[in-house]
Amino acid sequence: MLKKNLESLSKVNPELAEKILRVRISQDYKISGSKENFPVLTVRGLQLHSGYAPEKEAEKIVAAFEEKEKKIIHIFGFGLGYHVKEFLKEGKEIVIIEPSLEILNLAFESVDFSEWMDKLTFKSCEEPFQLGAQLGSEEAALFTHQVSKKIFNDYYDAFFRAYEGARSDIKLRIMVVGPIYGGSLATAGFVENTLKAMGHETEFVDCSLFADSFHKINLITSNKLHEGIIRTKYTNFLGETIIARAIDFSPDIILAMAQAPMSEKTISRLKQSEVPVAFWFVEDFRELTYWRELAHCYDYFFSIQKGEFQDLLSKQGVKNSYYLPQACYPSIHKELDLSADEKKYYGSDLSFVGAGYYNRQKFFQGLCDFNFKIWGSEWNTRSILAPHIQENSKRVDPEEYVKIFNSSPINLNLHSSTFHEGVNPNGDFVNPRTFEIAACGAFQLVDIRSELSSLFSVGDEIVQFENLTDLRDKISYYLARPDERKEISTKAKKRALKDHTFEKRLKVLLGIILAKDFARIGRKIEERKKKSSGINCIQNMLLQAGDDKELKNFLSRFKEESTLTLKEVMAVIEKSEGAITKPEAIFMMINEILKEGE
Amino acid sequence: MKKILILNLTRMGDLMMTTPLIAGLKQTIPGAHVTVLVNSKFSEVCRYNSYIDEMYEINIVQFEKKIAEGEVSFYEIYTYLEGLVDKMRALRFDMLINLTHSKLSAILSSLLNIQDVRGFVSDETGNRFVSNPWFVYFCNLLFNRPYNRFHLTDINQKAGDTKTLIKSLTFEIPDEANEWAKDYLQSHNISDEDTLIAFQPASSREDRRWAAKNFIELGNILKSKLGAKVIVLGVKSEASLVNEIASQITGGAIDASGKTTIPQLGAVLKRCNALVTNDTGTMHIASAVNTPIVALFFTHAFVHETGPYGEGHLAIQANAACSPCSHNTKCNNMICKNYILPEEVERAIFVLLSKDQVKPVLEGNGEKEIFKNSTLFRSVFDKDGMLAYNPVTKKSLLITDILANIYRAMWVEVLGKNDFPDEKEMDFLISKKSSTLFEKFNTFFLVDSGVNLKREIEELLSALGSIKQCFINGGKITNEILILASYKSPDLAEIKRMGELIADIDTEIEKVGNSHPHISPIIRMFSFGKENLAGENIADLARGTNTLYKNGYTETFIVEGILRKTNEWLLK
Repeated sequence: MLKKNLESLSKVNPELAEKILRVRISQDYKISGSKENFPVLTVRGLQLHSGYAPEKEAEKIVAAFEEKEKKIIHIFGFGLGYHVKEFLKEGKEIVIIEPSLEILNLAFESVDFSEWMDKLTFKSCEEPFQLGAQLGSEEAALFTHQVSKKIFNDYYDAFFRAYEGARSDIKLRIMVVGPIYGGSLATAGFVENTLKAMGHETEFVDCSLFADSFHKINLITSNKLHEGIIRTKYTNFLGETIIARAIDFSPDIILAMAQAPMSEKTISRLKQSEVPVAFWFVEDFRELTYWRELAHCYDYFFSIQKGEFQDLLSKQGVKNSYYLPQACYPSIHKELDLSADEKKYYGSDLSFVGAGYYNRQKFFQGLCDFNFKIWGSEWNTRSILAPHIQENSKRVDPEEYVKIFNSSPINLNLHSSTFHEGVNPNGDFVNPRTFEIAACGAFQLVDIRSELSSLFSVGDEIVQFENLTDLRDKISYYLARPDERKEISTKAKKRALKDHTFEKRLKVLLGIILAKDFARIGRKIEERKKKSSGINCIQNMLLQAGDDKELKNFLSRFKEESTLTLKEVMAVIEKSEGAITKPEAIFMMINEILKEGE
Repeated sequence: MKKILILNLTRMGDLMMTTPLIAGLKQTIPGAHVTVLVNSKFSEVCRYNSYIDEMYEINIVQFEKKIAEGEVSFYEIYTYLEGLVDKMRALRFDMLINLTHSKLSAILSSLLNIQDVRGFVSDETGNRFVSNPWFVYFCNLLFNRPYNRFHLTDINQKAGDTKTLIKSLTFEIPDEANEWAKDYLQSHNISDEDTLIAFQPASSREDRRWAAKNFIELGNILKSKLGAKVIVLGVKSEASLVNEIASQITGGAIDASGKTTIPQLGAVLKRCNALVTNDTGTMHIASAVNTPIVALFFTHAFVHETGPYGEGHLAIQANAACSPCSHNTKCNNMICKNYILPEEVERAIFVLLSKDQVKPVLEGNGEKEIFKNSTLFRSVFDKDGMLAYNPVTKKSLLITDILANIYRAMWVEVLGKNDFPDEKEMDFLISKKSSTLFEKFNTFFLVDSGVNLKREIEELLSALGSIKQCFINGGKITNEILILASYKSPDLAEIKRMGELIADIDTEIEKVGNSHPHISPIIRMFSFGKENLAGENIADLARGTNTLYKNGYTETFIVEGILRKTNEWLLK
């Protein structure tokens, strides 16, 4: 039976099938027969199903489950799967959360699930906070197998808190700290905008405003030691700026992005105000190594690399580190209806958007016989690639590179490297471009990455290449097959929008933080609630407004649970078009009066 | 009955400077009902003015504590303001004159739904504009202060289109206040025979306060040389400054800080032989009750704008190269505060009391030169009916003096006029104005046609010639646009091309104006006019722009003409 089940499972999840096969069953796990001769599992003395009629019991508990109408059912605890079979009868999309490989082994040994395997998604032995945050969604319902919960109480508790965290509609105050410069700057912007769109109140500390001065520090002195001192002092100055903004904004969570000017001292001072400080390191840990000094300072550390990096972090004593890959931002990364002129200008058989890293400068020399356009900065315009380099190697904004993706039959995506001659054979993380091209419904050929298969179905949703020869073959192949390209890119888009948006990522991030830190955050929210029940709370003002329709109408432009600030009021008035209404005019007067009072 | 609302949210001094306008409106429009809407903090002075029929207050003070503590309820202020707006709307005014140069007052004006609005208002989309040529001029003067020779009181009156200009401020002292003042002064051993000099050492702005040590020194001089008695005035919050001065004057002075109500202050002032004051509300009350004044002007304060209104007052203006401070700037090196010396004020009081003339002479044993860094002015109503501060101390005639006086002569002829004079009329005007000005220059200045002055005038004449040509060209093109716009199917491409030509002309005007600050008042006036053009209708815009070019042409023609004649006169 086990063999039959695992054969079926390995078609959809070979990695798990392998793990189940190899697991050693301890004496805590025992299978016995029920009175009606159904197999019954006992773990550490706890019987997972009825000793009389487990099928009938399953029928009863599933019938009593109130949230059956939900599209997706998450089932915590597989047991021997009696209740799972009941849900399968309903034709739902089912995800199983089973902490124990031993249970799965015994279940597959005892019950035939082979014909159901393609309808089940198994999540086993995954970090509970991350899993809970990943799965928690309004579209899904959670069915908890109570005995399984009892057996794995700690796991369940972590999972459930994160699950609820991700499902919660708590509106938080989040301060996003951006970098001074670099690739993570765009990500920081997407993050802030996404959080805002999710209904959170955000504050973006845009450190790029200080980039010019930062870049000129090297012009001050030829003494490297002295330059280092100045750079540190400048970073400290920016740190103090971040602290000042945090004091002003009083966030529930601070999220610093890679390259944000956060020193150990800055982080520790921010933490003093009881705010969880998280860091999303959207860079290659091998390339940028400052994480070694700082990772342990953060309350939460998210990275785009798993495996080796997570192990290193763990060895360094970094407790809350989680894998959180890059993503797409669908408001910008989308399919566009371009004019013929735009298609002509931005399009080419093969296109590439990105900076001229060493491996790209080398590798692309082998593609010069294609109709190939290279966009982006830092390209050597005097090299053999010169005829292919567009706009004199000017930096390309997201709004513009989306037009390139949309106009090119094949978008080349080669992850950067400062020392490989082309493809990095050991590359692990997946760059933002992968998600962005996919979200545009554009076709891409991407170099091999070990983590790609966990994000896209390789071959079906995305096509990868291993080396120049492989790439050249695939370019020729796919150029000749537009329908095939379309089919793959449509699937890629669907997947990207379903699983790889910044919204998804941030739900996970916030779900984990909420699950682990709800006490602190809850206190802050409570304090704010107390404050916002104060005089200028919109709810109060609406009540006070009574029959004043004009004022009520004006106030309806603000979130009901928020506290009105003149800054927000003036921003709303500035955005409004047409004639100024009476409430707007009166609030403009209030603004003038209060300005005078300052 | 015409219902007029005067909106003035400024301070006491400014409210006092509004009183001739109110009196003028009552005279001009028989049966007019004048209501004022004022800041409750300074409204008191309006209670002693029988020309005001009704007064409403905007009371922000009630929220001040909460605002300072950050606990202000928006709803509370909102309902207060809404109530005020509704109340004022219900009064259905026919005319609004907004004398407050602020965004708050502009928004409030727009909310009151009054047809005839003068001054600062917002349109329905929130854009601010200024509706009367004299108020546009007021905006202009903020950027060209050295070239302004109109008193704010007169600008207010001109904007109100009053038939005759009222030459005094209004402050009616109730009998009981007069009685109180009499008793109060008697209780301090002041008799009618005494020479009583009042000091007003404080002012709302710290940078407008002449130093306490100067007042003390002046007090000692006045006491010893004139045998005068001194009373030092001030409100309660100014007590420590007043006390410092009063106690340090040898033999003492009356410390009246916080002792008087506003009408009692007026009554005390009335009984004084002179007031020495910074640019303050007290100064304007004194001028209203006909107390002779020596006013001290430095930093932002500019005698021509806010000197005591009425004839025969004296004012000393500090003469720093940067005087007066530009609008909305904050000086960090107020050297001009020290440019006015106690000896100069003493001399001014002597002149004031004896109606004597004063010349820049060496004082005492020739140790101290007086009026070296300042100018003493005396107020007089000019032939145009408006107040002028003419120098008493004769100093060299400078290009700024020439232009400021030419501008006054020109603006008074063009602002608010609907007809454009032809060249013959303008030539006549130029001749007439020139001879009056030359007389003035001869009387009040040391005239020396130095090389620099000649060169400066010639350069300006050339610049004025250029912008005059720009105004002519602009006028021609806007005329053509008007013709094109009148067709049933206007050639929009051609109109657009002409619009581009207009933009080039305007850039040229700005360029010439920026490189010749002396002619900036004309250029600014033109720019403000453009900012005030509203709407999308091509014909209306072309008509409005055409009027601005015609105005610009007329203004330039007159200034150029008088300046040319001045040049000739100087050469003679």
